[in-house]
Amino acid sequence: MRRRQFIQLLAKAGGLGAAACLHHPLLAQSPFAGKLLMTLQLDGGIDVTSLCDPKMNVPGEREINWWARTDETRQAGNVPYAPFAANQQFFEKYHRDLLVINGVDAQTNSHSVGVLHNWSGRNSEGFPSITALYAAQSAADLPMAYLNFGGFASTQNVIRSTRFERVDQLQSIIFPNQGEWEGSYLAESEWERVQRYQLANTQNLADESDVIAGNRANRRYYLEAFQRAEGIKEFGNMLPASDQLQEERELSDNLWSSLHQQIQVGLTAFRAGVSVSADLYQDGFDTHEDNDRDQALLMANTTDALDYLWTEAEAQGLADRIVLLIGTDFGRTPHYNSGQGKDHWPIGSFMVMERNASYTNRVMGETDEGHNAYPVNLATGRRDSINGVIIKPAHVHLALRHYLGISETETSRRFPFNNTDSFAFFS
Amino acid sequence: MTLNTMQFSLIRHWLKRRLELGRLLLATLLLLLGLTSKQALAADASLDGTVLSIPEVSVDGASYRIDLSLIADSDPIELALSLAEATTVSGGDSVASFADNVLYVPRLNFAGTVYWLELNLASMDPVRFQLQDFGTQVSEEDQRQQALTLFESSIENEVIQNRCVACHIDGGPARDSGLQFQRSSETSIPNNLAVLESFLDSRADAEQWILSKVSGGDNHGGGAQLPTGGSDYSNLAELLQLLRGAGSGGGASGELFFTGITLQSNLETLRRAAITLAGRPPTAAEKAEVAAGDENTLRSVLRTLMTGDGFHEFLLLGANDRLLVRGTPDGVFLDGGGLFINFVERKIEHILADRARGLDWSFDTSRFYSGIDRGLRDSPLELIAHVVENDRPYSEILTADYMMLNPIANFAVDGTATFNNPEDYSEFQPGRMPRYRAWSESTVEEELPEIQEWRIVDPGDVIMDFPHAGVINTQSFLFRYPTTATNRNRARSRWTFQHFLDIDIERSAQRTTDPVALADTNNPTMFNNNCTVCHATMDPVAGAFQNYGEEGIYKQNAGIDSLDDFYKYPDDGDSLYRWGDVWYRDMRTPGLYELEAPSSDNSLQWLAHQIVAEPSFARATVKFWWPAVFGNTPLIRPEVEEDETFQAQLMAYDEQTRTINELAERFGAEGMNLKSLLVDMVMSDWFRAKSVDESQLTDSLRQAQEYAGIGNEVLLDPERLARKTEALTGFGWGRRYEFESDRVTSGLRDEYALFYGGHDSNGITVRSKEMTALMSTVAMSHALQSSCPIVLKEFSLPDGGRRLFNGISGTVTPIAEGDGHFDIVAESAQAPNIAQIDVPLQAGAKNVQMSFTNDWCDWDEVAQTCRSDRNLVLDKLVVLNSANNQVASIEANEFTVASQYNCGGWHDDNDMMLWSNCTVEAPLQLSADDSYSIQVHAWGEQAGDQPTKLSVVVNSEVDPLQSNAAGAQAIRQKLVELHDTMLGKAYAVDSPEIDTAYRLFVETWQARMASGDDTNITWSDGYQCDYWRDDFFFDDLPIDPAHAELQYSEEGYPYWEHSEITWEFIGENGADPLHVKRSWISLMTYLLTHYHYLYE
Repeated sequence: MRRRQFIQLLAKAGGLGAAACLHHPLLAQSPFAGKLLMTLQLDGGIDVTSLCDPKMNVPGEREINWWARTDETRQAGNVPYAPFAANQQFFEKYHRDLLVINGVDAQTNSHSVGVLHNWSGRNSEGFPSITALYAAQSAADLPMAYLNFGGFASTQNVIRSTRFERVDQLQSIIFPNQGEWEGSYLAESEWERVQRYQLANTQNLADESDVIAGNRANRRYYLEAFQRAEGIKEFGNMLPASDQLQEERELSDNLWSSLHQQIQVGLTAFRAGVSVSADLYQDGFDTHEDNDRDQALLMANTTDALDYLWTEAEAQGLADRIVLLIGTDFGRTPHYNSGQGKDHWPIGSFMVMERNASYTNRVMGETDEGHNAYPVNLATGRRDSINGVIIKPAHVHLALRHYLGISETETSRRFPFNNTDSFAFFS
Repeated sequence: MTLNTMQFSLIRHWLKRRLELGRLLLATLLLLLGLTSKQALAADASLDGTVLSIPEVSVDGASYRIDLSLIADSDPIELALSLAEATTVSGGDSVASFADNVLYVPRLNFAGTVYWLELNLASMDPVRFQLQDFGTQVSEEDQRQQALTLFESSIENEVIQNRCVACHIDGGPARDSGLQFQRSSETSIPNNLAVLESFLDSRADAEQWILSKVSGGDNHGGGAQLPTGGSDYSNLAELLQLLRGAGSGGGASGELFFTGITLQSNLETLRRAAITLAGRPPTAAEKAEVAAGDENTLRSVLRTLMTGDGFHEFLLLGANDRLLVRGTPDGVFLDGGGLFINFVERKIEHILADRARGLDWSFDTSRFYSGIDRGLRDSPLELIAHVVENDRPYSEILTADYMMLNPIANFAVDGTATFNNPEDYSEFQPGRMPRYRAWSESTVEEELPEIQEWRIVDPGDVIMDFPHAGVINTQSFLFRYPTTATNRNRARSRWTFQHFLDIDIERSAQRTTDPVALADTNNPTMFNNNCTVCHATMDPVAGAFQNYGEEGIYKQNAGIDSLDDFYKYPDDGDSLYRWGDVWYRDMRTPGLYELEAPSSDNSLQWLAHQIVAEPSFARATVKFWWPAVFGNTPLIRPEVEEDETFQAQLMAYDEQTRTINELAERFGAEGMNLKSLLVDMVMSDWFRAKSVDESQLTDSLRQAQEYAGIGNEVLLDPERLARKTEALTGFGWGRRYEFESDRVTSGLRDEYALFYGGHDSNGITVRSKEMTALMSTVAMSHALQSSCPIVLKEFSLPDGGRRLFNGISGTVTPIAEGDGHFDIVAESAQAPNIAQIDVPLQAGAKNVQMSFTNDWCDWDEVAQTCRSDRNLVLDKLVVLNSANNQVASIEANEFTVASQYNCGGWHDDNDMMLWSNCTVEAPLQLSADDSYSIQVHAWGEQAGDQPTKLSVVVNSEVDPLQSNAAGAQAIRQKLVELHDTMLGKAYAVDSPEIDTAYRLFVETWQARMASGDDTNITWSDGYQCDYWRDDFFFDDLPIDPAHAELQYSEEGYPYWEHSEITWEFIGENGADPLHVKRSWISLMTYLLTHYHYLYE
């Protein structure tokens, strides 16, 4: 770029354009008022037969569940559940807001493939997570449109994910020019000047031609990141102080959970208007030993976290906008191994939670007493040996895209579910 | 292809409609008569009545348009040349050709169908052709579709699945051949077809090669699978022909992936490699050597980068990014099922000592555990570093019969390593564990109920020589990839295949979902084909880990085996176990592929040797280190052909695979020296690709390059950014010494690493290389909190001993013509010092600024006054020209205070006293260009250890933005140097980039001068300068070596306490009378947040 042009551009950046360049993006447009999408990735393979697809023991067959020796499947509204862990409390309170999809065939016993399949809808690489896709379509310009607290977060370059860890340190970087005790590192006017110059410089780099693909992408990422950094401050202002943050919970010697803290931070980001989708994450469900002990601890913590989520969301005025998709890698074997554990089983479940929805208080999909998936009717979700289809993650993702209004977009069409039946999950 | 009756009749019918005989105009097609050059038409041939018009025929590089007229009633059909004229060469698919007496017309468009024609030259005079053959033309797309149909119907099952996959599959006997298929699955048809297409691209004789092999030729290991003449053979031959005609898959056939790309120069490559491999910029000597040499010189210099702490950190981080061994929690290695006497005894000593002191956890105890954790957790990483740094064959990372230990870990495990400094837990040395013990019936313990511990009174008689096998049986590796009673080391096997054999077991075959197969309880991993597809390969290697239990203890059961009790002693008593067994009887024999481990005692050592002998070990090594060098992970082969980016992805994948294979081949053939491999990787186009000429790219190539994400600007990892800043500036953001484990860490390596795209080796295992808004705030915080300490440190060092600011002082403003800094030792007006600067000046208005920079007072808190007070007293300003004639003399009482607070006033005899850090100035008007001596007469009220200090600056009265004063030139030149050093960019002093930075400097300086803000960067009101955030900040500053003392907390935790001398030094060097240092702080913030600083 010729020198004179460059200086002219700089002068423009130094004048009226200055404030606009660093302007909070939210002030230039109406706040996002659409749905807020969350996923809860229960990593390792939750035992759905002890949760939302309860299985009693079959005489003469290997024992599926120990709780079934002395108890029976319960039902809250139209939703059966297993009398295990703290399920009763959860299902009794939330069955009206719950759609259960049983008999989902992950078509694998591999963790990595199961995670990929369930959270992208396809068991081959190349599709983004549903949360990435939603953020890209709904509010790509927000500074932290897509949050990820762990687990599957493939974006396929439709958007970038903001990763969270050590939330107690967030405050110290969200306001980078704020000193720890007094004042600042630069005068505010100086910092504003530096940012203005940096933004102009980065814009020039992004505008250059004949830039190789990887460099071009990185320049664009940096420019957008720099432009949107200011927008995070609102989130920072709302973030609870360190001593007000939900603490990480020790469930046992080797089981920990930061789920409550993730929810707290995620809801704060939603309320601040800087995010529209978030992946929550809890690991530890791969119980090859002591299945019942660990599943009970984790499930109880998870349902407690879900209760916290909806209570807090209600308090913050967000509850009516949240759609929560709960899933896992796959299921667990319908029998115990020699270590009182359960191994991998390709059939799992999804749960969808939403307030005041027409499709909830319902179960779609069926499995037999041995936890094998039945082909089910597209409309009713009931067993249908003639016209039925075994539910796969693609069906759930396809239906969810339709429901969220992102199925016919240019971005979504780059990741099509071809020849995939449409289930009436959300009708 | 021969004519069929129907087609022949059709042509005769149409051609008989009109007959016209013409005389020939040409004796041969090579003579030109009545030439008329016409605009070339890349059009198909056409048939109008009885005239066949061919717009372009290529003959020996020249092009002609010809008409052929049908000869009536000719049988075979003959056509006579009726027109021939030269035409412009246009090219394209429609161009006919004439060679060897055959005229080939590729496209005759007739009645909506495209035909090809083959005509033989029947007569030279007159020129006549005879129709030899013809047929319908199939498009490339149609041809490929035909290939796919044929493949689906007759090849995939009959040939590939029934025959080829027995050997040509991941982990199979033909695993090193160029053809690797997938077992039957939803995606195997397109993928296996793509494998054949890719292979056809890889060698010119691929078609013949395949057909020869399948029929038993060319030493095919599988013998004759498809006899020639059989239907399978014929189908395969037809398939290969169709694929060849369609152009093989994988994007634009024949396109070079790096088309249009410009590579980095040797110097640019050197810089990026130095930052990547050594965590520092290249030295001047390295740059000079590369600049004067060629590519071989560059290679040689690259090799020399691979030493020192920076390279060591590169190796540890790069290895951990793959192995993730740092994800193991603290305190787990030895406090479990193993029998480590030294560890137990020392642990008890610490507990008792803490108890006696009334402490829960002393520093000594903390250091004991932390040191062991570091020693054992990092052991496999340190082994890799040891092998590489000592130029040993890389295979030794697996075959090493030793492990790396630090002093405390060595003690804990009773190792044999010896150390230069046994107190330094950062020192790792090779050692062995020849006295590895296991619990047995002869072990005697004694309970210590008061501390709930057990002391080992007699360890028993089981002592083993631990069979080290490099990385794979370190506690760290075994803990990171644990096992269970049902997993039976399969996870360890899976990751061994992944890291060292380039086989991803989980992707090698789709798992069955057949409910019958899933319900199979008759040992399905041994007998069910749906399961053995993976377990046949995975389980023997799992068996090689037979001696290591869940916690990685060797032969945990009394030194005999590590089998779990669920197998050995099930509740129902029905066990396959027999006394002396070391592996499960219902699993495959330990081994690798078709080989069996000869001994159970050292099966892992045997496995290690087998692995490194496999050709895929070299390939796995290239892929292992690919992310560390290039900043992204190796591409995965695309699987779904319907994806819109499939072709682009495949092109990128194929090109990268080709590179990986080439690198691997060379690495394996040249002694497996990793440094050599790293040099090759840096020298590759993948590392050096810098820019592209977009006009040379097709759409598919552009897509492929985008998918591959090639480029030389890669976001620095948080650790690498930390090291770069430390190396360039001498400041580490949050850098501190962890006394517990003798480790140096910092903000970007620890508390902010995850925010900036790092990982924790546990919950988050993949680096994020795409900048987000949150990540950018980390970069901003790093810059804002580092800038002031960097500038402070630089100007605290003597000129010539700085990293960045040599050759410029902290008082050079954009309008300065000259400056000087003086110690004023005079104590009275009767004998003042004369501070003189000599400077060439042009005629015009000038301004002399005089600054007091080290105000000091020995304050008495009780009396609320200074016991002694240092002040500067100015007498007068005298200006002499080059002839030593006085041209100006100004008394101090005529000076004006430049600072906006009360810092000076009248003193006796027209003098001016400055009682705090302050600047005064005197205007000057010069009538001629000359070299002037500017003299300031001054003395001081002395106090403290230092003399009173005076700075003098001579300024021109000019617009700073337009200034050509010496100061402006010096600042601009310094900006050029800073851009080069920090960003690796060489800009001219009048370039737009330097103009930008200079403008930023001037605006900041002007604002500061007008602000009235305090003139010390370390204690300005409202502004922080967090130099104390770096434990090592004071290390190379010229202050008393005893500037800090090590103090200890009650629990024994050490910390540095700095002396008063230190704060005085800092305060003095923080003086910024003309706000120049503050302006440099803004510039430093700008440079540290610059794209080219964060991306290398």
